[in-house]
Amino acid sequence: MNTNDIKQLLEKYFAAETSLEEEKVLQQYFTTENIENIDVSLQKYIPLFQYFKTTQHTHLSNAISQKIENQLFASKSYALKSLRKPQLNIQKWVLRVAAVAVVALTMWGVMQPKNQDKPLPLIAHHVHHPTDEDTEENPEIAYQKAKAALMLLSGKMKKGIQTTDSKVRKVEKIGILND
Amino acid sequence: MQLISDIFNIRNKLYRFAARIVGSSDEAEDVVQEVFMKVWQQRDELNEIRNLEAWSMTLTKNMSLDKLRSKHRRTESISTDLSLVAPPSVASLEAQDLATQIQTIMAQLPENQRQCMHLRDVEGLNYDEIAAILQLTLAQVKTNIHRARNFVRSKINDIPNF
Repeated sequence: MNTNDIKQLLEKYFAAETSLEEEKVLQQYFTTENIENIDVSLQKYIPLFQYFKTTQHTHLSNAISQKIENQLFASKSYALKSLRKPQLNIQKWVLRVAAVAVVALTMWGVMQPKNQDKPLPLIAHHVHHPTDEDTEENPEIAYQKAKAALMLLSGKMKKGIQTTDSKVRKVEKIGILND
Repeated sequence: MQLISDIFNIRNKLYRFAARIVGSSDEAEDVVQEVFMKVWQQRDELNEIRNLEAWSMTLTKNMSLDKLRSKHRRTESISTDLSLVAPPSVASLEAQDLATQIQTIMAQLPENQRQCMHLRDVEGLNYDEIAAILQLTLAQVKTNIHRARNFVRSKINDIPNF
């Protein structure tokens, strides 16, 4: 085939008007013809057709192919086993357990009374009687301060959970990139 | 068993199609295994399927897209390095070898166009078969292939010394 024929065929190809046979001719030309015999203006299309040819020879790994074949023809059931690497899940769970432990320890620390020698004041009455444990005389102010402290704790815990989630996702991302 | 065997014989075609969609050979292998598990589960109904190859390819496409979606869900909240996802510039294309340049250009095609071009130019399927697999009309298949090839051509022409 001469250069002009190939040029015409290429125009048809890019217009999606070629038949499968004509496309085979183009692929044959660009992947087997000696580069010196291909017109300079057409050489830029060599990698495209070479890419198609290379991709046509890509195949499933023998190990996976064999595994599927065994599952389909040599066993009575098709069990889909551990496609993903298990270490990723272990890492994820270790981080989750660690996060829960940190949160639990933090809460335990916050709940502990500051002075262990003295008993906690009993909150058994509707009317609160200030004791020498209290730092606020006004119950309303004490309530507001306690509320603010709990909000702060809640915020810190939320941030802790978000940080843990972010770390877990980073570990997942590393796992994905390693795949 | 013969029908399962027929599908097993096109496993590499299914793998290439899955790889084209998910963009990773490991995940494409996962998809193919999941496809064959589905084939096994539906082995009693396979004789009711008119075009087994088209059915298997459609199943592969759907499972690959599911895989892709779940992958995006897992990674979308991660602060992603933009250089991994942004379309490469012409300057960065110049630095790559020719095969990688073509791969990069193909990766920039819209999903439907990429699938159509793959099924035509790599697998050598006719327009009717592609339409059946992708569940598109014949006209849509032709339009997708036309646009995909022109996009690839214009990108090749944009690259100096190509």
